Amino acid sequence: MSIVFKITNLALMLGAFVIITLSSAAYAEGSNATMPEGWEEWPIISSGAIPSNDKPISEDLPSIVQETFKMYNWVNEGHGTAYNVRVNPAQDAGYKNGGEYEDISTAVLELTDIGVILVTEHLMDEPVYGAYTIDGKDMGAAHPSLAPEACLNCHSGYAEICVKGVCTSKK
Amino acid sequence: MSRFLTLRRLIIFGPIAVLVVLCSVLGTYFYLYSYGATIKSMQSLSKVSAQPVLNLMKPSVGGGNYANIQDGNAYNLYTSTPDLIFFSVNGQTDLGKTPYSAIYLASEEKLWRTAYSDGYEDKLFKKRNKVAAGIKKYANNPKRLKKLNLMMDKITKELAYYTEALTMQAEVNSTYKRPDADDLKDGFYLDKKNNLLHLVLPTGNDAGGEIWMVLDATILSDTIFDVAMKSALISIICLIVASAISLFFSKQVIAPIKRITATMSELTNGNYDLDIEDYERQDEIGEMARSLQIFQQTSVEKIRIEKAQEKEQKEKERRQKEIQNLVNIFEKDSTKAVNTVAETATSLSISSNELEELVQNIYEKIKLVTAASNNTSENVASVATTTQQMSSDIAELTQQVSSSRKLVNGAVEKTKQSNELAGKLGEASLSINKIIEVIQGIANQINMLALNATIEAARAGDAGRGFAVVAHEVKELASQVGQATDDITVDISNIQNVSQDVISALAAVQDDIEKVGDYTSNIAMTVEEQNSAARIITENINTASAGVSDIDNDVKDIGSSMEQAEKAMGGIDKTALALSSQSDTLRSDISGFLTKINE
Repeated sequence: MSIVFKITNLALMLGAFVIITLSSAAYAEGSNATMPEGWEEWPIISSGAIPSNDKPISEDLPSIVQETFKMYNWVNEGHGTAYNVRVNPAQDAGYKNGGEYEDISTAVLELTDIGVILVTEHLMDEPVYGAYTIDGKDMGAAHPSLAPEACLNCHSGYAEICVKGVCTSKK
Repeated sequence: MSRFLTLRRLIIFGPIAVLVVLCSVLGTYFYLYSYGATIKSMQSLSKVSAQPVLNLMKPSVGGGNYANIQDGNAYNLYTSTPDLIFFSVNGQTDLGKTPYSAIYLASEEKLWRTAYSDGYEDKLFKKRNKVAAGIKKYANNPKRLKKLNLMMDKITKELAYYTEALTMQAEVNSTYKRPDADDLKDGFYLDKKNNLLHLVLPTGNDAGGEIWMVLDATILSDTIFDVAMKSALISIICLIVASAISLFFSKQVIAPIKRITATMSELTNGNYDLDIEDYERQDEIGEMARSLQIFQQTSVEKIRIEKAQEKEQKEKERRQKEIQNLVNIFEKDSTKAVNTVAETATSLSISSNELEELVQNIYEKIKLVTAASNNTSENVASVATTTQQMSSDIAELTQQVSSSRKLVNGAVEKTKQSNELAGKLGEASLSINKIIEVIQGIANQINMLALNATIEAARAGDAGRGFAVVAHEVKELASQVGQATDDITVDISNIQNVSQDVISALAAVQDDIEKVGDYTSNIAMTVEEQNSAARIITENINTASAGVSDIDNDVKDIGSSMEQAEKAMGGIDKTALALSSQSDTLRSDISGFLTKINE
């Protein structure tokens, strides 16, 4: 069972890698979203950990979470990382309403162990994405999984739980 | 067995019929198997092709990049399936029961998702309008303008994809018609008219759905054609094999059976002079041939025995006649023979008496011979004794001649030694002559010294007188020496002459002695020859003595034999009388025997 899962996992990773590589080709220039300022002060609305790539991923988790784990378990040399989801207080209304966002940074997914943030920004109420190190270096072109197109595909693909490019319980 | 179903026909056509039936059964089975296998293969293919879509519709996954991956996998599977024309899936995702559908057209080599939420296009239009408004709004903000342009590009692509998907869906719907449930059998339907195979399968996920595939059924036609061709080929091969087998059987079985049948027919007609073939075979034909051969041999033997018995009967009759003739002849001949025997017995008796007289005469003469033989034997013994004495004398003579020979040889040797001594004596004389010459020289010198001494003594006068006397004496002595040496020379010369004479005499003596030796040798040889002759004479005399002794013994044996012969003559006489008597009896018996035979 475990071996089958690992093989499946590996196949998915390879597939994701190929797709992300292909899809991110157009975005090789880097992040679409801008590095937010003061994101460290934004409130954490949820925390967790991306497990290491040698651990099975529970199928009880939401599919987008499973895919996120699969997509990012390569980080930290495969050991996974803890994460925090921070939402910009200025976008609190849009986040709570599931739309009508301001044209500013909305939220970050902070990968604490590697010091990277995945940024969601809204522009004309549509999401744009980016990836940076905590000191502001653009990582959007550093890895296919960090490309803005990968984020967009994932959030739009899971439209059941992603509204306006942000995963929420609101629809 | 009916007239139609003969053994020959059964053997020839039986394998062909069996193989034709077998080929038909196998061909049908092969066709069904190939057809079924192709259908199964296509069904398996459809399931495999549907797998990425099924995965997409199961609860653990739903969309995003993973959906893209599944779409990519499905696309790869479809494009690698050469017979696939069209593929579609319609259903709901397990997660959220979201409608999901996709189509793939091989002619376009493209996959489209065709399920969209209500108002999807309107949402895209709205989004596009918003982005367009943003472009205007942020026309002076290059950073945001860039972002907005990218968003616009993305939306435009999505709209184009959406439009294209709906178009393709409409085209598919007009081109292919999903078969009704009644037309489906085990999930497939073969549209023979269009040569298409439809496969309709459930998606298998919890929320449910359906997969519909259309495949080019040419492969089935090809399969049917291929099977038909292979069956035909196999049938032809089987026919050839069957014909070969039949031909083989015909040659191996039918032909021998026909030969055996013909042979049996000939034997039945009494023709036994036949060569039966196939008897060396180890099969049933061989056994039949061997049985037939035994029958042939038995029949031939029977005929031979009958002929032999007939011949024997004839022979018996012939012999009976012949015996009769022989009896007649025997009667005649035996009578005649008995008479002759009787007459002969009489003659024999007479001859026996005459012979007895002759034997008596011989006996008397043998006695005389015996006496002469004894006398000869004594004479021979006497000669032998004399000869032995002569041999002894010759041996003595030989011994003496040998001794003489040795003596002569010794004399010759001594003569030679004397001769050598005489020679040495001559040589010694010659040596003495040389010494004498030396002495004579010395004497001359002494004489010359004495003369000189005399002269010197004369010069010395009185003082030399004594010396002159001495010199004179010396001269005298030298003169005497010279005289003596002359005498010696003469004597030696005489000795030499004598020695020469002695040598000559000795040489003559040696010649004579050698001649004596030669004579002695001749005598020895002659004596040896005499000795040999005496030995031969002795041996001959011994042989003669033995011969005379043998003659004596033989004569004695003859005498003894003659005594026995004399006795036998008496027996012959008696036998002749008995023979005469027996011939009478024989005549009487033969007469009685013939009388009985002829009765």
